[in-house]
Amino acid sequence: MRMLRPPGPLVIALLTGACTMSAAQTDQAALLTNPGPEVQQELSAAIARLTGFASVALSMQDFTRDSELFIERKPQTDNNGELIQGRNLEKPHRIGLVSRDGKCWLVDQNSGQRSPLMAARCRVK
Amino acid sequence: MKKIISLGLVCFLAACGGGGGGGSSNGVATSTLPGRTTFPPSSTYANLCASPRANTADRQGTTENEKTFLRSFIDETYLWYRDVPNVVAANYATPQSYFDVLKTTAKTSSGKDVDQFHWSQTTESWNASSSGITQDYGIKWAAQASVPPRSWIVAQVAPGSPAALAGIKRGDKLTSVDGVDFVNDGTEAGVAVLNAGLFPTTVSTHGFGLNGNAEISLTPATITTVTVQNVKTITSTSGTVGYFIFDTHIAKSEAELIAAINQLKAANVTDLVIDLRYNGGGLLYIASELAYMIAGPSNTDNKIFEKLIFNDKLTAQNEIFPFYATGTADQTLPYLGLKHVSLLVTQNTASASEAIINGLRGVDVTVDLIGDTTRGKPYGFVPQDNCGYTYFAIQFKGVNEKGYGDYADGFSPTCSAADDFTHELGDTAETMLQTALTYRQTGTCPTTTSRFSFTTGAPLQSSIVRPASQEMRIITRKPHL
Repeated sequence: MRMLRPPGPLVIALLTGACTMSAAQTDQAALLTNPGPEVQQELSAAIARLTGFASVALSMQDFTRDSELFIERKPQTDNNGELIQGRNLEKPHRIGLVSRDGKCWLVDQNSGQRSPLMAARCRVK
Repeated sequence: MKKIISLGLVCFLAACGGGGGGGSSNGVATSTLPGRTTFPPSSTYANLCASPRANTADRQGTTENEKTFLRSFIDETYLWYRDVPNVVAANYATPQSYFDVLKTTAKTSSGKDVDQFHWSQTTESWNASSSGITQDYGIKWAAQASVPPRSWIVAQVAPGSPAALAGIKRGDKLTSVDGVDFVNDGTEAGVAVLNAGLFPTTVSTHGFGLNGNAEISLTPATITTVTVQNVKTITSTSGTVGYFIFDTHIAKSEAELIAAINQLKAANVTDLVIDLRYNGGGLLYIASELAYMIAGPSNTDNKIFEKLIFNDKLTAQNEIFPFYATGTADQTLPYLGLKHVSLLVTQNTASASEAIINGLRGVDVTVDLIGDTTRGKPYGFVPQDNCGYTYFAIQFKGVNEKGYGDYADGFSPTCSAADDFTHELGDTAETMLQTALTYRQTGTCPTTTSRFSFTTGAPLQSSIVRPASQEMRIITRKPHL
């Protein structure tokens, strides 16, 4: 059966556990501490790599109040102004900001893929 | 630059020379091949492109290869693949114009095209994403006429948006943009100014005249989309009625809907009105969750919310959406456990919103519809990329627990009522909400008249202008100018 919704926490834990990092290291949900244009650009680029989207629009507040963010295809309209995908089956990507060994990472919790962040600073939530 | 990413997708057909699925008349078929019923597998021709893109799966091919791929793709996946006319591919200048005619020509019982939704656009534009934000003025327009004499009204203003901060309100009539007469100007230069102001491609300030007054300056800004608004209770002699506006089904809607239902549950509501008048659908799982939160487990346990039925070559892909009792974080969803709900609907109420109506009726929850006939879109796509374009051909139909899904002409209202732009949404004096409250109290549809009259005297029938997509043009000059 196809997965019709984003995976819940159990799946996230299993996927994360499948990564090659040592068992002693664990992801801790984190919040962004230095939001700004450069960091936003880094986050957008990382999310684009993780999700395969060509462009990612973020707000300056993303990851400052919550360590998770849904990224989904931007709703688009046809020539009649109607939503093209009115019955959308595509599951949104649940992207988590995590801290691990003092570094910040973005994790696509649908796939378990992760991307390190260089400019972004974060603190454990 | 992020700001340009959001807004820069607007590309007018006049400038782009076509594109999109909007019904090019290029290469109208002059002959029909004898009934060909077998086609090569689409996989044979996938990614064979006249102009391969670098760093993709594209390989050197021809325009004819792309057309062959599309014909096979349609034969394999289109819901009505048997009804597709055999047209001569060579008569069509582009794969996209050929795709435009690879659809059924059947009509609904009311005479509408069964398939009004065939569509294509560039894959690059389709692959834009967001975290539930938009970048615009925060105005949802209702358009009665988009050619002179034009008539656009503010239908809704996003909280905290530039429009809200400027004091723009529902019901305001657009009269000018950057000094150009919005109602009457039909010149090419004038239309260009209107388009530039209404659908900007860069972040810049534009002037908007409303109700004939001096123009107000607005600059697009990043707005976090709020999908559930105005959650409140309305006291009646037959119990407390909950109300909220629900505008679109996106991922963040889940949390907003849970909060709304929790609030109404705490207020002990015994009935509910949901304002879906501008909700064109979106994520289907969100619709399922809302339906569950309305009806609760006793009405929905082990029942189908919607079954997706593909064509008879793809029956293995048929899929059942249950009424989801848990959210995406596996949290238990709250519910009201109602056997009755009133939904405020218009022609803009479509797809996943119609699935809520059909899904609830399938489990014998009474759904009263107040407003206008809904859009009539019981169908969906699985988008297909090839050679830089993404193609949308209807592939499945949604049916409810009872197996019903034949509403291509839309759901008729229980009581007709006009979208009343003279009152804010959620005001109990607003015609649609007032009608819903009267009907639930008396069981009789009140006689209502529009609270808003157009100077043209034309019937009050407005369609919502949603945020501009790429490769489209909403404002047009008078035909033949």
